[in-house]
Amino acid sequence: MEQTAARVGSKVHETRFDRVFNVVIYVLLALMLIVVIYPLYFVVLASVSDPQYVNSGTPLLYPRGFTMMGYSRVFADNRIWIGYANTLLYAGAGTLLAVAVQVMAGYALSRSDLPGRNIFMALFVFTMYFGGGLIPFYLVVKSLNLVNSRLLMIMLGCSSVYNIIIIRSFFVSTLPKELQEAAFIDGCTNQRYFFSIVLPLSKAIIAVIALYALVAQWNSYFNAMIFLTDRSKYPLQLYLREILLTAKTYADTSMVGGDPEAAAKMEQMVEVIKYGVIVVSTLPVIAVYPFLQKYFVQGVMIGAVKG
Amino acid sequence: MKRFLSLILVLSLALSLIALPAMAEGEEFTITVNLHGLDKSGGTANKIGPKHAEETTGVKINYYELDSASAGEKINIMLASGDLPDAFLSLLTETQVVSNLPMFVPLNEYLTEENAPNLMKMFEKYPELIDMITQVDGNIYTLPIGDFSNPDNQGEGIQVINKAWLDKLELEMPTTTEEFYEVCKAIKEGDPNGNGEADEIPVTFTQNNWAAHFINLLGPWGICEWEGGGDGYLKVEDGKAIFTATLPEFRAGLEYWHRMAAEGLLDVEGFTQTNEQFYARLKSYSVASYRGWTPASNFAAEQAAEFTALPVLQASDYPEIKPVTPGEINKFCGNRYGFGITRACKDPAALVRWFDAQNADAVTKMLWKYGEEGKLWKQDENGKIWALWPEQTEDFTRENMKYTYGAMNHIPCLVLPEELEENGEDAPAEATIRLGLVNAVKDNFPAERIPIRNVPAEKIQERNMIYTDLKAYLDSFVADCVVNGLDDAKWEKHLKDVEGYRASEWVQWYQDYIDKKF
Repeated sequence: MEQTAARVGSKVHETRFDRVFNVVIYVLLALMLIVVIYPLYFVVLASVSDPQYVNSGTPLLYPRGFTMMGYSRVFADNRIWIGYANTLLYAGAGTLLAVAVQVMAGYALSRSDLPGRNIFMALFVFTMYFGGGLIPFYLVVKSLNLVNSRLLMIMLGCSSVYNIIIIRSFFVSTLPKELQEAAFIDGCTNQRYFFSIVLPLSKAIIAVIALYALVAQWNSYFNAMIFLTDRSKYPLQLYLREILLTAKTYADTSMVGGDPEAAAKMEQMVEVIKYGVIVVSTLPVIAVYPFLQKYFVQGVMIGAVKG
Repeated sequence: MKRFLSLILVLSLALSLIALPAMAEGEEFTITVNLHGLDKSGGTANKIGPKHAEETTGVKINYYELDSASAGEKINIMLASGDLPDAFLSLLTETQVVSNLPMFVPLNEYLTEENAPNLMKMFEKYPELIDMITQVDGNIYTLPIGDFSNPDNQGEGIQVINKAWLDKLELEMPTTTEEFYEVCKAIKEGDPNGNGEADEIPVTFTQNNWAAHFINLLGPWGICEWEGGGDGYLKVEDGKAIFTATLPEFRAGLEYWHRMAAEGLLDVEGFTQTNEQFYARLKSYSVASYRGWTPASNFAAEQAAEFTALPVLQASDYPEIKPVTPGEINKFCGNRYGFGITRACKDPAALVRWFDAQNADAVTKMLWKYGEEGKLWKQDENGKIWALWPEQTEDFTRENMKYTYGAMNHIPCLVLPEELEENGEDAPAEATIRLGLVNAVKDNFPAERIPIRNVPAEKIQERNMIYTDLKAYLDSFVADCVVNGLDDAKWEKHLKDVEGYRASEWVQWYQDYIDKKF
């Protein structure tokens, strides 16, 4: 901390007030960092600690009652691997499709020479506020014969209006009209302009959108729950939900088919694997983030500020 | 060419005529079934019950498995969109059936001697079943499944106490609330868990576990949860529905537990703690008394053995009140909405016949419930069926076996009381703990019971509309009184406030139900 302050001070003369100011800032930032990091750290700790200590409410700073039981159970569970494979497919293909669709849509809407672009935009925005509801949605999907298909899982979420607006704003604010005119004078076509000039200039926004789409796909379970009937197609999150939630639904004898002894067994099982499951399921997304992070701040700001 | 085509047409027509009667034998249906989290069979179709059913009836069933966490939403969508399976097995709720009656096929015309001889025999023997499954329009839409009754399930959560601690501190088993207070005080000060710290919490509970609700601690004052609903804020005496939360003994109970809380003898975190925190607290071996299914679910065998049922305490300030604990002798444990055939089914008669065949005899039912003979059940030479307790491992316990070999209560048949002996003489000690607890307190189950029957969907809605707000108010009033205490002014205000939440309308609803006004 001191060193950083000194380095800054080597260029500009630093008063005592500046120094105190910097120290205060760094202390505050350090506190904020702890607030953000600790929950993540806690999950990792809890995944290798005895559930007894985790649930008793004493704050953990290091693993207590170290055990890898949670992980060995998770890795022994076949469902997790089936879910993992499906999620990788849905998230991978879904992200590619989402980026392709959204970047092209956003680009087209950013062009002032697109006839009726305000009408398209208004229609898009309309869907952000009004929807048909779940049952009409289900009926549409059913009439398209897409119920219980992997294709549907990949397609859903490929048209996020929110992302399209971010992309459109990015293009409007970073690509001057002159660039397009210059290209066209040199005989460049629309396609060529988009692929050879626009795309290389918009890596930042593509990275941001890819991350948004990836995280959304990775975490989504509701559509899969509603539309998939074949268990071999379930994504990871749906299996996680099943593992974590079913125990509760059987506990009450006044519930139909309740079986308290079995429910107690399941609850014990859930306690052991809960945090291990969370770590295993979030790790890939966390692992991807650093590679996209450098684009992230830049891209999202450009898109967001000038709406 | 034309002639050739017409020849093919005629031929295929003729073929289909020949094939049709054969089709009836090999009919195919899709049925939703429950998939339990402990099931390691890899699919319902792998189990012996379904295999046996297909062999004996020739009907092919596609089992569409739903886990209970998403079944609610999925079934709602199916019912609303009309994208239905041929039948639902298990997983249907009362509301889903009652408010979607047009989606189901009335089964009355199929329930005949010819079509469903086994079901008719069952209804003859247990005529009360008919009332339970008949809807308000006079039709039967769903058939009952599961266990007709189960001795373990007669009770609900049962208050237990660590007997070993009492012995260690040379305390008598308490029988009244004042004795219980003294015992708790002694435990708090006596360090019976021997760790040198005064970390003992004599009594804990949680609102987030169905078996451990606070309200049942008012049992000494004649108040506890009751099968018919109302979470303890309602009781029935001599055919009269009584609102409990304005009775003087209700106040006395709250004052008693406030005193306990103020002296650190009642764990007030119970009002907020989650079920996981509750379990962690039990495991920390600092709780003397709590309410649960059996201590064996929360402790290792050695510690579990230290707990026995706490006798249902007599209120010292109300000796004339008979203390109660939730439960019902010979309670009906079956699922009244167990098997419902939908409008999508092309041949309901065949599906009723299939269901009837699964109810043919005890052995068929056992194949569904517990799987192959010799694993979880056996039949002795007199034809009587006994439950078995095979060796279990950490990764494959008896609970896993129940759902891997069979499907327990999620089966297309109703197991009658005379067909299975759960707690036979072969049963190991740990298997009969629960029954021991139930027997210890069953004399104090609320005396009155009201026949179960169906009510119109709008009536249920009407009741729920009132009750949601009323319950929220009462729950917070109870928590407030136990934590902060209660004086005359607060009680007077409560008596007034309750009316604002339409308590008397709510009680009147139950009175009308009892009097069969709807």
